[in-house]
This record gives sequence, structure tokens and C-alpha cells, in this order.
Amino acid sequence: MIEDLYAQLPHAGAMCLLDRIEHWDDSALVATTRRHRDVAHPLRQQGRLHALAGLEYAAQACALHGVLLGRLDSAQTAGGNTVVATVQLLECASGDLDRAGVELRAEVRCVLRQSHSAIYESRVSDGEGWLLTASLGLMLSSVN
Amino acid sequence: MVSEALEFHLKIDLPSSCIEGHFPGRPLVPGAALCAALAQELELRLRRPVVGVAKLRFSAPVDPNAELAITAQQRSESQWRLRVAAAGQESFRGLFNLGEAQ
Repeated sequence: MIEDLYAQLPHAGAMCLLDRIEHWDDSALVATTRRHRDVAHPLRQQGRLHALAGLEYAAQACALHGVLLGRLDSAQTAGGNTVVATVQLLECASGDLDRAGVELRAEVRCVLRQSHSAIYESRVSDGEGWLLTASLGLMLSSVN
Repeated sequence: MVSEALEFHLKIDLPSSCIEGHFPGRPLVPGAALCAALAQELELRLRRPVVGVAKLRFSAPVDPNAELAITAQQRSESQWRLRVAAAGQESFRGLFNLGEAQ
């Protein structure tokens, strides 16, 4: 199922970071992955997967939520062209993501959605605790 | 407190799987990868961990081959303001919060 959703996003290959949608409704989505400890992770830089890279997990969860909402209501802007424009506040753990537990969990909740923008609260965690929390301002516009 | 400032250049080195997948036909540096690269550079220079960011604004896409000009200004004992420009155009700004030295 998640492959069908990613097909509506501009991401491809290893940059489709999330494996599975655990839950979603009209205001929230929870997705998980187990590939964050992959040594060939596409966001790894200089041998590290910094906790701030978790922002991409949150952003993709928001984009997937947008796709699902678009299926519910064709009048809504789908998430296929979702980009993060602003982050009001982000807090992250000082450890790297690839040292986190076996499964990462990205939880996002939409607090405001308009025709061309949205605000989401997000949280990335593992079995041990939170790794990143962020408030994301999204632009629902074309990347082309 | 004496406010410090840094100016440096940075070229982001991402795996090909990132460039190819974000996005096919129009490669762009993911905003998260830009934030992580800036955080790693700050951590190396200041020897303190980045524990958060605030008031981030991504104002223009960043090409994977771009050489980025970074201006960093200390605002308080634990916060630095970073501005990033590529080819003379600002692409990013934000406040980076630092934790205690480890």
C-alpha cells in the first residue's frame, strides 16, 4: 500500500524512507521504518545519520497523509508536491538516528490545513523514547 | 558574553541514492540533509551537540553541486543564527540550539 502512495510523491528508490503506515485518519498519520540503521542510508553524511535527518521522516509522513486526504476529497490539494517551507521549533536527541532502536516511528498531526499550506506537529521516536519533535509549515505547491 | 561569528563554505556530500531519489529528473538537497550537514559542521567547529533548531525557513531549493556560503552569528551562550546562500541567493536561515559539551 505504501508503495502506491509513494508513487504519487516525487521521491524514488531509497529516498522513500518509510516502510509501513500503521494508522491514519483525517487529522493524523503514524508510519514506521526499520531501515534507518542501513549503512547505505541515503541521508548519511560523513559516516553519520544525524538526528536532524529525522526531519525528512516527519516530512514524508506529512506528504503521505496529504496523498491519503487527497483520495478522500478530490477537491483537496494532494500531498504529491508537499515541501517543508518552515520549521517553527524542532528539538532533537543528541544521539544519531542510526543508533536508535530497531524501529523508528513517525507520528504527524495536522493542526491547520488550507488550500496551499498546512501546519503539522510531528514526533519521531523509537522504542526507547523520542528522537525529534517539530512543528512543520508545509507548502502544497509544485516542486517542478 | 562576547558574540562570535563564523563564515565558511560547505559543499554537501550526499550518497548517489539520495540525489537520484530526491528527486528523479530534478535533484535537490533535502532540507533535512541540509540541516544535518550544518549541524555536523557546527558540532565539529564548536565541539558541542546541536539539540534543536528554531525559526527555520527554506527560501530556495539547493542544488546538490552548489557551494554554500554560510554565515553564523552567535546570539547567546547556546544559540547561533545561520544563514546559507548559494550563488548569491539566500536559501536557508535558522537558529541552532546547542547542548552542553560532551
